[in-house]
Amino acid sequence: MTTKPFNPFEMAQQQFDAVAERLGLDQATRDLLRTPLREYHFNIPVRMDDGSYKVFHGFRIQHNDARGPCKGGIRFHPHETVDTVRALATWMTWKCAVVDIPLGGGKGGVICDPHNLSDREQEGICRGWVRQVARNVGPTQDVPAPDVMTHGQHMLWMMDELERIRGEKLPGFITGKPVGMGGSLGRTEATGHAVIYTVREAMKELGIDIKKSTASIQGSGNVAQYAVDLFTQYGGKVIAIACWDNNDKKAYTYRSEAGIQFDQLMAAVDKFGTISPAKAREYGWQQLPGDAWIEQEVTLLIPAAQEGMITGDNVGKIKPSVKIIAEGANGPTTVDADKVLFERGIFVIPDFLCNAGGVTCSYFEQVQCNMNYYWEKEEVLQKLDQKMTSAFKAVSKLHRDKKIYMRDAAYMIAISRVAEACKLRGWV
Amino acid sequence: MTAKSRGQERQLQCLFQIAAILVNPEFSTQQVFDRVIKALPLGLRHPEAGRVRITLGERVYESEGFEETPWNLRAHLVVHGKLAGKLDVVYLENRSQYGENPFLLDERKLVEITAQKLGPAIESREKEGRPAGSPEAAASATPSDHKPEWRTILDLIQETDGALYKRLVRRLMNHLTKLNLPAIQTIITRLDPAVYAERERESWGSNQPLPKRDIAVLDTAFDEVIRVASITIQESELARLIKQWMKQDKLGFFAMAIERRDISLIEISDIVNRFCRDTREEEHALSHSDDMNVRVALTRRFLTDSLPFIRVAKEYLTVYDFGRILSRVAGPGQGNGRLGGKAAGLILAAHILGRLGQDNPLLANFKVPHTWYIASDGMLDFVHYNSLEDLQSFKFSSISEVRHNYPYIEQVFKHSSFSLEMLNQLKVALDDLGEGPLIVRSSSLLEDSLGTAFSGKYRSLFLANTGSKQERLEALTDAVAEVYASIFGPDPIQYRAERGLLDFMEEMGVIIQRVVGRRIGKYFFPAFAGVAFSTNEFRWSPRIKREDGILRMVAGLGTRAVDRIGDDFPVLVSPGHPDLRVNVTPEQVFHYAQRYIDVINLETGRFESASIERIFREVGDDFPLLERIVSLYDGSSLRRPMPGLVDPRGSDLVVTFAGLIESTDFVPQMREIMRTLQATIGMPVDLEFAHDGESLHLLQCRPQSRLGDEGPVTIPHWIPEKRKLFSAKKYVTNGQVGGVRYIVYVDPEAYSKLPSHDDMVQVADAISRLNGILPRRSFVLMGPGRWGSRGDITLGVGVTYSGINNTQMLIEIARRKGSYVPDLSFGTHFFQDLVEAKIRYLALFPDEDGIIFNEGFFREVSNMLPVLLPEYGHLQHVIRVIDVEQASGGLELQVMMDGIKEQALGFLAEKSTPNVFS
Repeated sequence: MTTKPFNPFEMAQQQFDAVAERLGLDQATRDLLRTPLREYHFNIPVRMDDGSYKVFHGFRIQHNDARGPCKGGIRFHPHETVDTVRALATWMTWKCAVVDIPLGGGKGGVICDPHNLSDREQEGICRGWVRQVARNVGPTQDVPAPDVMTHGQHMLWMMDELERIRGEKLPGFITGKPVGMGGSLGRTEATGHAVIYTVREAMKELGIDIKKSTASIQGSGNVAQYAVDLFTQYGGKVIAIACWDNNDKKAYTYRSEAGIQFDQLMAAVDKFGTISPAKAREYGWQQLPGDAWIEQEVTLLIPAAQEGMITGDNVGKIKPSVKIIAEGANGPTTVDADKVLFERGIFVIPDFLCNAGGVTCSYFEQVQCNMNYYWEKEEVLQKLDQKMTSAFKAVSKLHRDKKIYMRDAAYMIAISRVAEACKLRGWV
Repeated sequence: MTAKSRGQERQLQCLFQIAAILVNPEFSTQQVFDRVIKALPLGLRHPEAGRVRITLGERVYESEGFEETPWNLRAHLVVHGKLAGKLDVVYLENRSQYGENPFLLDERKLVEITAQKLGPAIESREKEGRPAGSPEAAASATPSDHKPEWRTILDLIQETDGALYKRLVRRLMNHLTKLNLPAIQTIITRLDPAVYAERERESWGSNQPLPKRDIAVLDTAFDEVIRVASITIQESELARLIKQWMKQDKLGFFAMAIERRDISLIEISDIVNRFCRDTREEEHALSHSDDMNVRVALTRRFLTDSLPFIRVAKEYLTVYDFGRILSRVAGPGQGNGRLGGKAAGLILAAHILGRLGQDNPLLANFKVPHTWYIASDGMLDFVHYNSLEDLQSFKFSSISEVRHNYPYIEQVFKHSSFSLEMLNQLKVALDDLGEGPLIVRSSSLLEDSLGTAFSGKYRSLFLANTGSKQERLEALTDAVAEVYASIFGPDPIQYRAERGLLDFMEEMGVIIQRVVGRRIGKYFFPAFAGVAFSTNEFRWSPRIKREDGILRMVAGLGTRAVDRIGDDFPVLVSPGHPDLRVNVTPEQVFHYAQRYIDVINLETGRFESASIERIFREVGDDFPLLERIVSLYDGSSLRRPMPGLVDPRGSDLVVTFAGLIESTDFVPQMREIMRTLQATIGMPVDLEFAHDGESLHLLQCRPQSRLGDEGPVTIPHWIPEKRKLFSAKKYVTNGQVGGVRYIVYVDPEAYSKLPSHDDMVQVADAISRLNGILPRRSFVLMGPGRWGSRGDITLGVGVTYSGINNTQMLIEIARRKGSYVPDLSFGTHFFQDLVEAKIRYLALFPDEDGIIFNEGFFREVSNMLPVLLPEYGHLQHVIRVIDVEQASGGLELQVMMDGIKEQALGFLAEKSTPNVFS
């Protein structure tokens, strides 16, 4: 049983090739966008706690910066492969382009396992990483963020190192910093609210009265919570919400015909997203099996938990009442289920548009840092609304005008924007 | 100490005093008499009733209140060969029980010797013509005409106690030998019986008995030794030495008494107490050999017979230490029980650290809580008192019977009563321990046998110890009874049966200890507590060394660190690398943090597990060492709080011990304690500790139970290819897994093709069932991707901890296919569970170069699943239960892991024979 190892970069290239074909891109543009613009591979020597030195391998992949400085996380992972990083950098380019923020796509990483490294040694890796690419990153070139096994502390060390090298304050070099150290307010709400901004626009276009609409949500974490928040503020009713019960080690769907209120949800849910069954009983919510969320008689489904939750097997359970699926999670719909949705004419707000509230908020963090002026939360969320709304409108227009499936439309918009920027710059 | 030996001791003291008076040239005859009159009664059995009169010619000297009574002794004074007077000693009343002559033989001898000595003393003073002891008499006295003090003493002894005299001269000879002066070497050599014996041996041959030597020769030898000594050693030094040796010698009885096997608790306590009262710790009252002998005897009597333990204990536990311990031992007065394993371990550890801490500040800064001990035969006393003897055979019942009857036995014990003797002692203990929570811990005899750590098998009970004195006493006796009953619990009985320990006559000592902690509001708890192992058997990073040890710590009472409770997580620290944490990202740290805290609620008098968030909110800043214990979590990052600015009511506090680890010397201190104890005791140790916010307390020390051979394993190169099942080159820790009879293999491909979520859930259910059916630790689990995956079970079998807790090893297979990049448990959610359960972990990457993965074996050999679990028979294409022995013709699976070379190999091997002696 020797199958060819899965290569995420090849998958990203196939995806691009298909869209490039539909857009009729010329060969040079295809060649340019198929592979990263620049790659940095470097060694990071670190003095270990015991006085010895160890050399780590680091990368930064800048897929494309025609639309603005590259944006993308830094991963610390012992199994890191350069092809994974290339694929992720490519997807960042499309994601920034679809929400129309002036940033390109990048990704980076270090092959290391933080379990084997003290804080001081990790700091050494962070600073070493910055020293190796200091000329090629920065607020106007490439803006990193936390990713797998990296967090705010790493970002602050990296920011500090670049500031030392450059001799100036550069908080806009990196995002994901704690509030007070250059972080932005509104990050908690951003993704969940952004999902609902796109839903609101979709309903407007489909002629659905949001006040009469109902939703069933899978997931009870941050995204789901703030989706409930905004959706109920707009007058919609959340009939069902599915959560993973960390105590019973299984999922449940909680259902309430009267509607689940945001403050009830916040009182019932613990820090890990488990809804207390006792609270649920108190509110009169009915406890159903974990996968019952998908078969609710509602207008809107929001899968906001994990990838691969709407499959060829359960897609048939979706009720005819469902008009919109807003992909709050990454990749919640499998390829075969996606076909069924397309055939049934369900309006899908694709993940990389629908959950782009997070990256948009990172962009705002960078903007605020660059001008050294920080907005109140309301201002952040208001600007987020504007960004998401116009991004949505662009994609849905293409969808309507050209009768293109929403997911394909989103990719076409994103890739065409990047291609156009390259052309306008006279690159190809 | 016996009455007889006490009499001898008194008499000797008296004689020395008199000798010193007689030889002092500054005393006149009158002064000599006055002093002797005072000194002599002290050598009698009843000094307060004794009176003395000396008559010399016309002159009469007598003690105050002298009367003639029927109970008298008389000796004559001879001066210049003539009868010159008499010495009368009387008792004012007869204290003898039977009305016979109250004077003992010893007392007669004392009086006679005194009279004999008085004669020459009078003569020497009269010869000088200074009968009145005038000042000029003293001035004109020449050195030649007075016998030195040491000589007088020796002469006295020679006359009164020939055996002691010989012992002293022998010691004098040894002392001279040690001085090693060339001038006297020849004499010594000639006199030394060892040399003499050697010479005789040579002439007589080694196989026949030596001839007896003429005793007169030995006497001459003694005289010569004394002569040599008088030339080579200063008078005052000689006197000091002889006095010291006499004192040591007189305590020889002490060693002999203690060595008696049947000596009762009352008797031995009395002897030790008297010794401690009469001597001072720094004066070396016992000779080195006697001292060692006594220490060994006391250790054996109260702690253990284990030779390795005694070897160490005799170096660190002095008689005075035992004196202090015995003042806090309760037990049947006539009994001869011990204190049990836990007590022994704690006592030894505390004294080792106490001693070595004098030179090492890292070891000095700790305390041991105030502790009382109940001797192990307290339980027998309890059993007899309540006529429960028939229970002794209970341990041989079938385990189901034991399980069934145990709750009943527990109640019988709790409703039984203690003898008055024990009750009184417990009252004293309770008064001494005072108010404030107590913990009653088992300390059984088996708990001290090395390598058999009965961890958690017997009960440990917390008492709030509040209320009236009577209520507190009742609660205490109730708890002790419950601890006694736990000897009949199914777990310990099964454990003993498995290890062939059932035939041992188990007895249960009990430790009553003050709980370390503080009262905060209505709660009582320590700032933090935990366990420490001097050898780390599960290392989450290859940089962590086995000998670094490991700490498991929780805020509040240490029960949560000792036991594994549900989904709660203690903080694990490797003292060699405190910076290498199990959880890396702030999210992980937050997720795998302590959520409950164990406290004693003083209002309800109960032990409680409360939400730690609630306690933080309730007690606020009063939580001891709060800023050292917690970090602030803001949803994406962790920060150490600024001291004084922690707001437990407004922030998300996570127990990380970041401040304690980074800013105090707690970790180096624990490391040093573990290292010292392991080095001194000679085996890995398992400690319990608690910190009340001010001091670190050591609560327990016992040998660390071992997982087996966990050293670096060299993977043999001679294994035939066809026997190799799998290999790995990444994330390998040191270790070895052997004796695996079954492999439970979840086929990654078949699993990924399961049509529905429900089927995957069923796989998890089936695995959990197998975990319950297959013999514990006899099987390994192998399966795709993330075992114990929390959400998306397409990535791995969604089992929980209790569904895998019996496996010996968990193997995750990462195939590079499908649409996701495999992400192993390593370092994520599931990992800590494995660390806790000591389940070995290995990741396989079958699709990488140079990796062996014998898929054929797993897929083709016969599958026991339909037999074991017919109801899951439809999953047999996914779950394969392989009986390795059957499939391979009598072999077993072994997995060897070399963490240094990062290599592991699983292969079929000959069955390893269990060693019955190990």
